[in-house]
Parts: sequence; structure tokens; C-alpha cells
Amino acid sequence: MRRLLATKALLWFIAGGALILAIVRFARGMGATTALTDLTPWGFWIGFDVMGGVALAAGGFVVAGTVYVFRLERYHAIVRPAVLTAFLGYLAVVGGLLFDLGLPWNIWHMVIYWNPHSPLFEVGWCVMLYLTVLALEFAPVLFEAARHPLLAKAYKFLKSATVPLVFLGIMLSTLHQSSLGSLNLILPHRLHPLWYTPILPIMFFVSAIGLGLMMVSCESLVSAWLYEREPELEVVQGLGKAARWVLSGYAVLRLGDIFVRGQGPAIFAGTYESWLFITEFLLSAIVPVVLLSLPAIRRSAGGLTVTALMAVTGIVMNRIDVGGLAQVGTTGTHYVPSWMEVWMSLGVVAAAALAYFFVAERFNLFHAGPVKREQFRYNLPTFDPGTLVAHPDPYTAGLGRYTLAGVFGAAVVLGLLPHSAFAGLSLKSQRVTPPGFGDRVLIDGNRTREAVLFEHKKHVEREGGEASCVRCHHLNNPAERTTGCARCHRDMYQTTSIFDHSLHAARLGTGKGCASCHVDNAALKDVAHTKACLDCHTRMLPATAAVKPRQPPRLGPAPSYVDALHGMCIQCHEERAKDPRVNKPALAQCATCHTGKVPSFDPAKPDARQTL
Amino acid sequence: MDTLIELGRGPLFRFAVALAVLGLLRHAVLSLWGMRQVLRRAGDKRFALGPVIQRTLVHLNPVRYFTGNRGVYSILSTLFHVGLILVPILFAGHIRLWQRGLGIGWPALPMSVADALTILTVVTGVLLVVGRAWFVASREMSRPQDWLLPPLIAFEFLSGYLLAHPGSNPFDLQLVTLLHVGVGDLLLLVTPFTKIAHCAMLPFSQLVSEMAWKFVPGAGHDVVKTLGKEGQPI
Repeated sequence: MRRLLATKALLWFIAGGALILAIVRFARGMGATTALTDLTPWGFWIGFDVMGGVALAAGGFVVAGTVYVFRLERYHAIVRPAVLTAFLGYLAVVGGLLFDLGLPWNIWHMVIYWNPHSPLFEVGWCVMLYLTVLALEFAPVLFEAARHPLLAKAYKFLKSATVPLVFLGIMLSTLHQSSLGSLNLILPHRLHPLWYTPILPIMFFVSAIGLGLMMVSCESLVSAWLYEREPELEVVQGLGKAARWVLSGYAVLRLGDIFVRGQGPAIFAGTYESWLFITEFLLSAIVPVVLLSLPAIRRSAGGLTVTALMAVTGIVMNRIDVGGLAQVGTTGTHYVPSWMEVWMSLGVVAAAALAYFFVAERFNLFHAGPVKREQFRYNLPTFDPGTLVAHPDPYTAGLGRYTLAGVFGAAVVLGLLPHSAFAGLSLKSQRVTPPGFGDRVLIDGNRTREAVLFEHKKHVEREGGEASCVRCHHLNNPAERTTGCARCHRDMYQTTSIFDHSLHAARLGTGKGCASCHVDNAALKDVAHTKACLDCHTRMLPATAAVKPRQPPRLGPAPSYVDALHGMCIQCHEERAKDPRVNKPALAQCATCHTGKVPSFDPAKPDARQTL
Repeated sequence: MDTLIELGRGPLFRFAVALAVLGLLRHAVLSLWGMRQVLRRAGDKRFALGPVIQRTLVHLNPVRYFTGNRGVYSILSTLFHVGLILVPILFAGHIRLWQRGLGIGWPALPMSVADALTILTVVTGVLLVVGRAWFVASREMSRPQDWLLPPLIAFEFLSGYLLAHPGSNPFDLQLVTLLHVGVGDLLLLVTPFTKIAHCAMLPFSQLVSEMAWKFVPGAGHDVVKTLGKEGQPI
């Protein structure tokens, strides 16, 4: 049992350190413990603890469904460990989420203040309900040896409710495993195209099934190795076969989706994202599928363990990529999780693993019954001659070693903590100096690598003199030095529709007018099968136009106002701003320049345009 | 050398203090937990708290040993402990470090008293080692830590005195600082693993005697197993 002793000691070491970090996190806040910023508000905790954690726990509903719905009784031996793993996994998710929430004490708001349009609302409810279902599914294991009549009744009732609970669990899991993917559908401009897809919810669900099968295999083989018992090799081989098909389906779906969306070349672009994708895809699908197709690997416990670990790593990596790593390129951030974030996440996993061992050693988790603690060599009374301290109880003898490991972990973390963890983040005093290059300075206010001329003096005057410095130059947020342009000029960053369909339908006549643009009546009424704007508005941009677009006009969302200004309008606006009579803030309004009456669109003269 | 000193006064010091405090706390909690478990399983559950507290207080009073058969040793040991406890906690220089690091402070000993106690600790520490070497019985009972700890503590106090009086210090100031910080950290680090642990465990000593040695079913077998004398007549 030396391997179990060493494993548990390591887990206690990690958990001890994590306990200190948890105290620091709640006492000093996320700024003192994480590398998260306003630009990267989701990091390692969301990617690994929440998204990865939920997917890792998918084995519970997969195995329970296999046994109770598909009646494949030979998998019955692994139902209890799988459900326990899922239950502890979801507890870890909720625990991890509490660390990541800025206001964790408001977590109950979701129950009272409903927002049914939010995928996060659905995920929150599903996780809450599924955690309850898992607790009820696993409770009979805890109650079966209980002598109290009330617990005996509860045991009987819950046993009889197993099948409905399993069905409920499958339904809830299907909902929230996919909804975790739906969460990211609001990030088309942030998530790299190799990961962003409209079928992200399906991807998440399919990969969660594959991960569930591999995680249960992994957990079964590793626990057998740790407790030196015979592994359920036949059962795991069956899981491996199923996983091979699921992961193959996932691979086909993933690659097919990428090529259908025309993003195939991005895989071989040699960029950071392409290498990230290749690594993830090889680990999560290709290599495990190849290995699971080899009979020699399927027959070997070691081979199956390595394959399962590889697939688990790959799919968890997918969640971390979607949660943050695949957004680095578009946000231009260089987020690297702090060591405290990583330790904290490992601490959550360590606590869940220790809870698993606790249950395994006391209840009928495996077919052979609980692992007897008395058989462990380290459960002997101890009397330490060095300290003259007696640990007289045989059961605390093992605990003595583990608590020592925990104390070591806590001490190491306390030694490594940065000063901010003790004193909190404090404002550093800065010398106030005027802009270095006169009144007009070139700034990249939004950190988008696009510099604009910024009139510093005029902003000072407009905002209320020197007392207003703190409106822009503040240090309220971690790693922030000045307010970005977008924080005040919000309306300039809203994307709007360039095309008003209702207006066109009304003008052209609903019904017969449709064919004016949707020429092929049999084809889909989408952008690809519709006339382009320039087919009718042939003189929309005459050569003499003051506005010089960087790109020809196109269908789809209009550029935001700030893009329009910086890209094509700024010269004209500067010309206009020279006129002392012009109210400069009003230049943001269309009607300031477009003073003429907008003429009605005449289909007979589609190229008619208004003048300024 | 400055980097090493900062390491010893910063991360390493925090690690050492944390290990010492949490390690001692662990001993206390495990001992109490173990005693509770033993009492829960013991056949004889009688337990008189009053006499235990009385015996603990009597045991903690060193004066009663001054007139015994090891009177000189008891007096030296008591004086050694007075300096050992008071100076690290109440020396003004140390309190300033706490104020700088954590913003907490408390009243300090007058400098002259701290100096006197420091010299007393160094002298008594050396005499205790000499006494241990002199008497055969003490010498034969001694473990390596019994020889190593008093000289280390005496050195820590001596180097502290030299740092507080730079005019009397014939050695390189940086080197003495590094040694003072390093040995201080080392003493903190070994606290939960050596007899220094008695600084926290002493109040439990009588409690352990009262409760922890109650026989439980199968205790005889455990004792035989622990002694490695299974199958042998006792």
C-alpha cells in the first residue's frame, strides 16, 4: 500500500496549500491571487474547474444510462464508482466556481432572479439539480449499512427510485453538457474559428460522452492499481470499444465542421492556434482512437490507462482552450495563470480524490466491499521519540502522516505567497506628468493595436479640469492603468445592421417584390443566394465621395462607428472640426453632416443617392 | 549575500514560521483527537480533569526542582528558558520586523534587560551542554538533537547580540546577519520535529498520561507487534 500512502500524502500536501490559498482568495480577492483582468475575466478556473470538471463528471450519466436504460448488466460493477466520481466532480465544480465568482455570496441569486434567456442560467439550474440527483443516486451506498429505521426506509425508497433518477440525470446532463458549449456562442469575434462553431453545443455533448467513458476507465484502472486489487479489465475493454466509436464520431464531426465552414487551412497555418488545435485534437481523438483500435492495447491495463489518460487530457484541454487559450489571439492578451490559480485548481481535485478514498475505505463502493483500513501497515500506534509526542490512536497514525503532508503544503504556500496576498493590492503612487508629445498624443486606448490621435487637453477641459484625472487614470482594476476609449464612448463600438430587410420589403412590395432580390425562388433565402447591394445600388460609392472606405461595402453587420471613423471618416471630420461654429461632440450624429432630406428609394432609379 | 539574507527574512522565514506554528498545532490536535478516540473505546472511561490540571501546573513550576537532586541543572535550565522565551518575542529589533511585515507590534523589553537575558542564555546554554557531557548518565541518554540544539540556540543568541552591538562585532556584518537569519529559520523549521515541540505540547503531557494509556481490547497484541516481538514470551 506504499503507492496509496504516497498518493494520499501528495494529495494532502496539495490540499493543505490550497486551503491557505482559499483563505487568501476570499480575504484578499481575486486580484491578489489570480492573473485575471477585465479583458480576460475567464481563466484557468473556469476552463479547468468548471468546463473541464463538468465534462470529467460525465461518466456518471453515461454508465448509469448504460446499465439502467440499455440494461447492459455487465457494467454494473462500475456504476457506483462512476456515480461517486460524478458526484464528487460536480461538488468540485461548484467549489471551484465559488472561487471564480467575484461575489460568491450571491450564487443563490440564480434561484430567485431568473434570466431564462441566458445559457448560464440553464447551466446553473441543471448543475444544481443534477448534483441533487447524483446525491440521491449515491445515497443508498451510504445508507445500506445504516441501522437506523429512518435511514433504512430512505434506502428502500431511493433504491426503488433509481431508474427515474437515472432518467432525470441523463436529461439534465444532456441539457447542461451542451449548454456549456452554448455559453460560448456569444463569442464569435473572440473565439478562434478552429473552435468557434454554431454546433459547439453538439461538440461539447459528444466529447463529454467520450470523456465520460474514458474517465470512468481511468478511475477504475487507477483505483485498482492503488488498492492493489484486480482491475475490471473486461468492463474497461467494453468502455474502450464504445469510446473508440464515440471519439471517432467526435473527430469526424469536428473536422467536417471545420472544413464545411472553410476553416481547414487554419489547421495548417503554423500559428499558435493551429499548433494548439493539432495538439488538442491528437490527444483528444486521433491517438486514442488509433490506440483503442489495437487489440494489444485493449488487452493491456497499462495501455488502456495511458490511452484513457491521454483522451481525458485532450478533452479537458479542449475545454481550457475554449474557455481562454483560443481567445488569446483575438484579445491580444498574454494571460498566463498565476501559480496560485493552478495550485487552487489542483487542490480542488485533490480534495475530491481524498473524498473518493474516504468513501472507498468505508463503504461498499467496489464489489469486493470496502477496503479494510486495518490491513494497512501504517495504522499502528505511534510515539515519536524525537518530539516526545504521543499519537495514541491507531487510526490517527495514518492521519498523522497525511496531516504532516498538509501542514508542509500550507507552509510552502505561505512561504511563496506574494506580498499582495498579505497586504492586499495597494495603489502605487505615480508621478503625474503631462503627455510626452504635446497636447495631441497617439494612443492605443483600447489595446487593440490601433493607434489614434487623442486630444488630451480637450478631454481634461471637458471632463472638469485637473480634478477629473481619475476618471481615466485610475488603478481600480488589476493590471489597468488608464481607461480605454470604449469605456466612455460606448455607443461608438456597437455593431449595427447595415441592411434593413423590413424597409426593403415594404418598399418593393411584400410577396411579388421578394424576387427582386431573391432571384432564384427555389433557392434558400440567404445571403449566398441573394443579389448583392451593389447590384442595385450601383453608385452607392461614387469616386467623388468624401468617405473613403478601406474595404468595398459588403453585406452583413456594419462596422462599428469607431471603425468607420478611424477607417474612413476621420479626415472629413477633422475638416469639419476646423469650423469654430461646429459643435464637435455633435459630429457623432449622422444628421450633423447629412443635412439633406433622405429621398425615398425608387426601384426604377436604384443608384439615386442623396448628397450631403 | 543580500539576496540570501532577503530570502531568509522573507519567503524562508514565512515558510519556517508557518511550519512551526501549523506543525505544533497539528501535534496538539492529533493528540487531543487520539486521546478522545482512545477514551471512547476504552473499557474504563473514568477521567478526573481537576487532578490532571493540578499535576500539569505543578509540573510546569520549575522552582520545586531547585532543591532536588539535580538542583543546579534545574536552575540553569530555568534561566536558559527565560531568555529563550522572552528575548525572541520581546526584543525591540524583532518587533520592528513584525511591524514592517505585518503591521503588528507590542511593547519591547528595555535594551539592557534584553542584553542581560541574551548573555544569560548563551552562558547557560553552553553550561547545559557541558553538564550533559560531564555526567555519564546524561551523556548516555542523549540523542543527537540534545547535543545540537543548545549550541545552535546559544549561537543564535550570540549572533543576535553582535548584530545589536555592531561596535563589538569583529566579523563581517553581512555574514553574521546571514548566519543569524539562517540559524533562526533552521530552529523554527525543526521545532515540530524535535524536542522543541514541548513548547506547545507540555500542557498535554499529563493529559496523555491520564488518558492515552488506557488499555483497549487488543492493545497487548498491538504492543507486541510494535515491539517486533510477535511469537515471543513476554
